[in-house]
Amino acid sequence: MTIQDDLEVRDNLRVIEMPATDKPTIVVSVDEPASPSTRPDVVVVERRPQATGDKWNLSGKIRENIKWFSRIDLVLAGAALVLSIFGTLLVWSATRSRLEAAGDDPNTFLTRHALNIVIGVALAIFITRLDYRTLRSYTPIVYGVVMVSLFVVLTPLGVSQNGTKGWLPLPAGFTMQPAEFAKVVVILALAMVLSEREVGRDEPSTHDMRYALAWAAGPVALVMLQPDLGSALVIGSIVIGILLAANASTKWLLGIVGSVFAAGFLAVVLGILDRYQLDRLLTFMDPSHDLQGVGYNTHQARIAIGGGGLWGQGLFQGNQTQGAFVPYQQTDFVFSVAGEEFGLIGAAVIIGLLGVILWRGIHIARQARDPFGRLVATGVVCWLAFQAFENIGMNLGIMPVTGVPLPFVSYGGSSMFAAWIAIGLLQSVHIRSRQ
Amino acid sequence: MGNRDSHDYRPGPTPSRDESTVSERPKSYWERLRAPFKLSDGKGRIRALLIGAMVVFSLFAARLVDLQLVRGDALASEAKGMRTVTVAQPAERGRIYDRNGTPLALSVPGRDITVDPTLVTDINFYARELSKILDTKEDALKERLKPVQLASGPSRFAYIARAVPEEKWQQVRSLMTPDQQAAEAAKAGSGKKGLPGILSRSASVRTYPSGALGANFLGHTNLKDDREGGGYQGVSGLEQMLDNHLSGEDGYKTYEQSASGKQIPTGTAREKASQPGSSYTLTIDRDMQWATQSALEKQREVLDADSMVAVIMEVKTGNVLALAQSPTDDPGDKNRKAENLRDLPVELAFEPGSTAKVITVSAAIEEGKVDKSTVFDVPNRLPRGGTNFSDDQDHPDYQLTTAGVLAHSSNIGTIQIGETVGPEKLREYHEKFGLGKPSGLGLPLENPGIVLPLDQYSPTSFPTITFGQGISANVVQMADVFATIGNMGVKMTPRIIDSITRPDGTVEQAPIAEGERVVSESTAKQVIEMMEGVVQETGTAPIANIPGYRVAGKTGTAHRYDEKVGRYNGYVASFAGLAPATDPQYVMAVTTINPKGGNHFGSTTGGPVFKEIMAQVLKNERVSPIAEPAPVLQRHTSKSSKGGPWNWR
Repeated sequence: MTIQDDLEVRDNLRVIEMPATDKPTIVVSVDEPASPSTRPDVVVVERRPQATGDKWNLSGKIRENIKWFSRIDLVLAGAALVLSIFGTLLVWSATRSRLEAAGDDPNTFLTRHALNIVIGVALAIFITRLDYRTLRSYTPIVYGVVMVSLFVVLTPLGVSQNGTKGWLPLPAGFTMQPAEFAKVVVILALAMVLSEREVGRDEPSTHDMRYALAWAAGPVALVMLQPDLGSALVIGSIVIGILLAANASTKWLLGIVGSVFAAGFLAVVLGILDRYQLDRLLTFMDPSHDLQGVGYNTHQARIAIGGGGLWGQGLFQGNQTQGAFVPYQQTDFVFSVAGEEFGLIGAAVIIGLLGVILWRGIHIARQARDPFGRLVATGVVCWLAFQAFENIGMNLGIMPVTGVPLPFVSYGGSSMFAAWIAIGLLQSVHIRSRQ
Repeated sequence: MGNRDSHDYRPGPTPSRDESTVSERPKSYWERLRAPFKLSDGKGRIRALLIGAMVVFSLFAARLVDLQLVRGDALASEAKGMRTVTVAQPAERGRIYDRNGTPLALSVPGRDITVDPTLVTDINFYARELSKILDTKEDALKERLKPVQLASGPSRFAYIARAVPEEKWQQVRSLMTPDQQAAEAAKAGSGKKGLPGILSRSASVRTYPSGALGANFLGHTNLKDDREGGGYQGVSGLEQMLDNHLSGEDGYKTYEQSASGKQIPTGTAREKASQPGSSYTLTIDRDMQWATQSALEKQREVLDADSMVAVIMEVKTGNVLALAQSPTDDPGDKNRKAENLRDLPVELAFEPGSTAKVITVSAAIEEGKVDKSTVFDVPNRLPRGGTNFSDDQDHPDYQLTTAGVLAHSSNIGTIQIGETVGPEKLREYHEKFGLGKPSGLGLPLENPGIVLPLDQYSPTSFPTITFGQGISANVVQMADVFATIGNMGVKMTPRIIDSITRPDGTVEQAPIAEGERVVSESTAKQVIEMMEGVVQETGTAPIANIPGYRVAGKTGTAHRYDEKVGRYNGYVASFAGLAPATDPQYVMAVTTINPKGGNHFGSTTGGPVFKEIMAQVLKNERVSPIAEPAPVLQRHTSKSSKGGPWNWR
């Protein structure tokens, strides 16, 4: 019996995992071709230790789990966890006085946020255990589910907040924001399309580019219909990032960025953009524009951050925060809580932790064992990076307000889950990387 | 390994082994060989991504340093300025009591209803619901509910209604938006009540428990706005006169407030406690005041008069027991009329008419020119200053004693009595009796009346002044003239404030000014004796006699100078009297302005009021009745003592 006779060859020899059996198992994986001209010809054969007698193979499973855990990127996981815990404090501080003033339980957001983190971490562990290459084969299904939810949110079933119809009500008072999960599926879909290309080409073909853009266009269009400009921009940044990593030609990249700008310009000229979106952009261009209306949020946030000084006013001591002057402070403007109550130090800690996450993400992308893993990791990095830039930038008044949450920090179930799914994807790529 | 041609690496379970045959024709996209790309491709771009991220992060760092360290103080103080509010802590306004300690004006806890317009969900709904409770027009409420843009942000504070009673606030508090109502219905009672953004702060509400009682002299207050310290400011009557002492010292509280308007516990705060105002006890007797007001109200309707005023004073102290008018203001009335806000007893001066004859007669007796039995020839007409003066009714030429002149209120007799004294002396007596200068009550806007200087006299001035035309006085001054006679010639200054109670509880008695002697005791006694004749059966005002007591009084009917038409039009009818005549304790003056019902005599307009109220006063004050009737003085000489066809009033 030769190896390949016994191999269940699926998906161009690249899906390697075998169903677990009691019998001796051989796992085959194909490595990167040694040079452009050659086919992948190195086959790594691993022999898994077989368990005997133990029906549940408990000791084996524990060993396996320890081994698995020892291979995750602990720096990445630690940074995300510390950031989440810090965020919990900030969300608590931002909401307790408001809730108290309204006569509600001041810890409502604290407990919900903590629960979100627990669920998020569980999701991350699940994704990490799941081979990202398995995920690749499920991508069309996951993509379909998210697309359906993006459709449904536009129907009367969806709930509006601040002019964006982006939430699906769930039982027990929870809501889901499909746009957050759209970010994940766009990463998976683009990585799926672009991770392989015609043999002999060193950049994606026109066909590949068209397919890739077609996969991305659906979610972007549906998100824009909500309208959620912020999420659409995040997805756009994911697309650009994955195309960059997939070595798409500069011509294509410039073309895409150029047409986005042209479309934006047309939208403004033709008045397609909603009034509030235009206002936000105007406010960005002229910070003193409409200080009481649209500019109010950013002005209050800047004042809060400015009041923090070097060390901050202390947890629960920020007067702007406890006075509830900054609108949406537990979500979009949570960074201003850190700025006011923990000062420059606190703000720097947040930026530093996000920097660590991005640095590890880029490292994982570079060390990925296959193009799919690399593209997924790059997409995740671009997503988190752009969202962090946009959110912190608007808190600092150097980016227009588009209403995106700060990953791991802002209150919000869907965004917390999505951020931890991102961590799961990075870890999944990492533990199967070349090192 | 494997038995495959390494160059024939093909997808799918049925790989085509012969590449050369396939490559004959151009392959479609779907047929072209696809494989993972080289990982070296695009690696440089990922590094570029890393560098880009670092650049952005350093931008953020620079911005943070700028915001928090370079501009931190400026932003912090801007924020503090925006948050800091100073709220006035209005002092509790002092009370006003009547002489028995019954409060006439006091401040009770209430609410200012305010709004944070940024939290209002539906202006129209709010305005409709609030207007049902607050008696304010919907449009006015909408204006107050609308957000106002200020330099520091949208205004988060406006008054909806100020100083409303607590129960109104309770009603407002239980209002619900349709959403809240739905929630209430769904959750059966767990829904939250209260319109979002509608708040309240405690306030004191100035109330007048007795309503219209004494409203004329108590006056009224306006609410100051916050910049002036909130609270009330007296704008008329005693509220104005005593404002400095009643209002106390307003305090303030400066603190940092949250966006919802509540104090931030961790913020800085400064506070200065308010100092409550002093309270006053008046000489006014609530029951007498009420009785007088009611009697005036009734009588004014009967007489169809423009207005009526009355004052009751204690003869020996000058204490004002009642200071009444009709029509009068009612602070509890929703449809208050601005014209009723005047304090007529002091603001209205009128020509006293025949009641002023008492001064002329007193002066003549005091100067030793006449006594009660001096006889005067009283012709039907008396030419003076180019005018033929007449009495109220035509009569044959006859002779009257001084007592008769007063009892029958003869103008011609009075002119002759006055002429015995002369204009200069008579004018001195007018001034000594307190005419032409404020009564001394101190109430705002008092009209002290006019006592013409001699050089402004026309040829007819002196004769008319002797019988009370050509001078003017308010009803308090008029009562004071009679009180002076009643006090055996010693003039007491009228007073309305009895004592002041300081916030620390100390009580200070308002001083009783020493009396000034105007006429001698014997003069006063004679005049009182003569005035008793006025209310006797053959006098001008038997209607004012109080059975069981002896009363002295004088009627007066003057032509009324109508400022609106600039000439004399209608009458001013007065009655002033003392009781008991044997030892006068109380004086009451009643004046009717422009009675239009045909009855314009001092006796029949004011007399019944005097009789009703004074009888009550005497009873309440336990003044013993006197069985002995008043002596009847000789009024006529024998040749005309039988009276005539004329009917004296």
